[in-house]
Amino acid sequence: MSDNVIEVMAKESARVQQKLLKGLQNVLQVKDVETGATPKETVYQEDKVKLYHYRPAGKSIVPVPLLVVYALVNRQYMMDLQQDRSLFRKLLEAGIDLYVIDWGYPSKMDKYLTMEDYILGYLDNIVNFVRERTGNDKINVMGVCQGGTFAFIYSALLPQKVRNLVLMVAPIDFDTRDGLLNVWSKVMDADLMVDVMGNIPGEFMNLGFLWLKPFQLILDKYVGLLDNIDDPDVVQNFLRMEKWIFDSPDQAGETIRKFVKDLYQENKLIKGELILGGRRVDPRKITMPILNIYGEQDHLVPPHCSCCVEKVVGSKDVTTKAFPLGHIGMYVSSRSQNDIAPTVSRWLTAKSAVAPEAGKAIRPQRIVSRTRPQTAGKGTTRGTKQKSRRRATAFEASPSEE
Amino acid sequence: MEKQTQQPIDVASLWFEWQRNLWENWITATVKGTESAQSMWQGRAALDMLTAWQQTWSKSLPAVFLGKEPPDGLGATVYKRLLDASNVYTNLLAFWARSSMLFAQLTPGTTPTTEKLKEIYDEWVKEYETAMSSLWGAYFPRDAEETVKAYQSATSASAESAWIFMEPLLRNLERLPAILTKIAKGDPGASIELTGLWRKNYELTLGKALRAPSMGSFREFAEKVNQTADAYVHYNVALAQYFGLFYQSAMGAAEKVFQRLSELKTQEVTPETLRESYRTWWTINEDVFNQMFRSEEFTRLLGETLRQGLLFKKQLDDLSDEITKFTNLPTKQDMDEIYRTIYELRKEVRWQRRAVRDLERRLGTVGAKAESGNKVSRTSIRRSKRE
Repeated sequence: MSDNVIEVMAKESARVQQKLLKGLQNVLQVKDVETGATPKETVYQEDKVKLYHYRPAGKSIVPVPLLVVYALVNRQYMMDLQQDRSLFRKLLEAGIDLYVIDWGYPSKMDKYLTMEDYILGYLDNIVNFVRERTGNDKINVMGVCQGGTFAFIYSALLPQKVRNLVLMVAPIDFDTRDGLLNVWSKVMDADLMVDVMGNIPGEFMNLGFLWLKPFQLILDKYVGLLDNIDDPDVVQNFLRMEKWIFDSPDQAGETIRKFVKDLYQENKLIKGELILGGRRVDPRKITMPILNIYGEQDHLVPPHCSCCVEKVVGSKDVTTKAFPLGHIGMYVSSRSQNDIAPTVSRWLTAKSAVAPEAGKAIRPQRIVSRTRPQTAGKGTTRGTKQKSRRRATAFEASPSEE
Repeated sequence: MEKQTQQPIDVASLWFEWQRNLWENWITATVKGTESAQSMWQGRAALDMLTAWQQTWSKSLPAVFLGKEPPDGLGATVYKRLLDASNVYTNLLAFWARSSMLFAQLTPGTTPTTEKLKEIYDEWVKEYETAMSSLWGAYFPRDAEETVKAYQSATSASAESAWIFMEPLLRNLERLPAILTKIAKGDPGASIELTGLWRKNYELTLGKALRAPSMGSFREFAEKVNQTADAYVHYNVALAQYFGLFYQSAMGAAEKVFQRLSELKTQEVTPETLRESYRTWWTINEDVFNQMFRSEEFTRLLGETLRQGLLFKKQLDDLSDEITKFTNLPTKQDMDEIYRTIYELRKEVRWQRRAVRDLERRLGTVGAKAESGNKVSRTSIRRSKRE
């Protein structure tokens, strides 16, 4: 038997070596890969936060723009990874006027940034900018993952600015043992972590994510790549995903302190006990239509964290959709392209066509192009038509509003 | 958007051909050699050779193609992970091949004695531990291994590791690490040496101006050093307990793997069964580790290890600040003050801008109303004139 074993073993080893040699050309020499496949322009910037505008591709434009609020963890280009795997592209093809926030990479200087700064500062400024730019009193907001939690909180505090809310794999109820992150976060001394580390390094966060499925994510994934290393397309896709997975910005210390303590550990959001900027976040004040979508096999944000939305908000118009997908699959799988994107765009189109109070149809929106980003606090270069609109409506929140 | 760069390597195909021929010759020779050697142990020796060859090959591969200055970028990073994973994979295959030989001792249709089963199992566990060590070596933090060793050794060994770890932070005082190591080893003369170094630095900086009583300050500094060493020892203890749990779980998984693989002992060995055994191994381990990660014991140890690690870092930062004070570099505390000030200023500016825009808007609305009011007034005047 031993000779047979050795022969088989030797052949398999030889196969691995051949594949590794092939990888020298297909993998090793690749300096970088393209991500963020869809053309966009930066239309607003404040500190390290940027706002991108994507031009809709459809003939009929949905009159209310959509603002995508991604998580602070990892990067928003996951939703626009490549031409044939782009949720953004699908939304644009459906005529959605798309704005996407890029939170940037916080440095040590940003360690004091709070959740209040992110939600009532940057996010609110961006919402105001989009409202002003497009001439809409209210805009559509889609919060993704942790960005969904932010969008949820924002919609509770400033519901008058949100027309429709889409929540995608958004953790709202943190009290579960279904997800390891929920379990581990309970024992973490968030105060000590932030006091000592300042910002929480992206590598530290990544290690936690990898250990959710260590053998699959650290070993088998690469062994699997060996099988397909001859296929340049597979390799390119793999590299794009690798880039995204390890492209983890550090987390601003004060923000993650509050996120872990108030949400993961004390679950204050769903209880209506979360305080932000001196104001209580009451989910019952979320009265706009909501589309809540989550993955049934999500190991980062387990279904329990997302499926409760209907029970806690004040809105009577909540549509909940569960998909048989994991967390990442929600953004990049073929199902994401074929099912999720159409679900979101159809829902937004339907909900944006009717005026919020009067039930009247709104005139389709003309998209105003900008060539240079507006910096926060500087004057805009809008057309006359928009200026007159701006004067007619008090758009922006005053400091006292917060 | 970043540009994609990809350059073909012609030499790869030549290398590939050469390797293939080499392998085919080697395999033929090995198989022929083992044909005459019916003993299991000679087969094992051939497997050992094969594994060693694989390891040498994968180690030398980067050296051949990457040269002294390995390429950087996404591809190089991923390729490194690929190499590590393939090493673990082939080690596991070798382990499984050895397992097959062990299981071959069990004659089908007969019941082995308990002693024989125990002998096979013990041997198998040894092999398993060896195979798993390649996994830990590739993926666990490199200093974790050292940490476990340090924990098992005397305290002085731990302290020595601590100073090696601290060295980059203390680089501005070249002699300090060596002296601190001596102190950790219990060398009484080293404390005097440290005092001398500290005093020298002190005299060159603050001492000239302040002329502070020296002994009191020495004590404080020494205390900080001692506290840092103490924190490191506590961190090591927590880390060793933490990884101890990993070892326990790995051995728990081993039993399950053993049961599953022994069920397959009568199957013919093929590349497919080899790969199936690998899949069996990693999926069982994933399940076992997932259970471990959910356990209260693990979460407690995770929290404790993290806490001890952070306390150690805090002591290290304090010590680093203490040393930095003698230089013209800002300390961590100084920088934190600056960050705080910048943050508050930026926040203030943000709210002020909002207030200004809000005011502008209100003024605009008032202006528009006033304008509209004037129009109404003028119309009324014209009307009254007509009347």
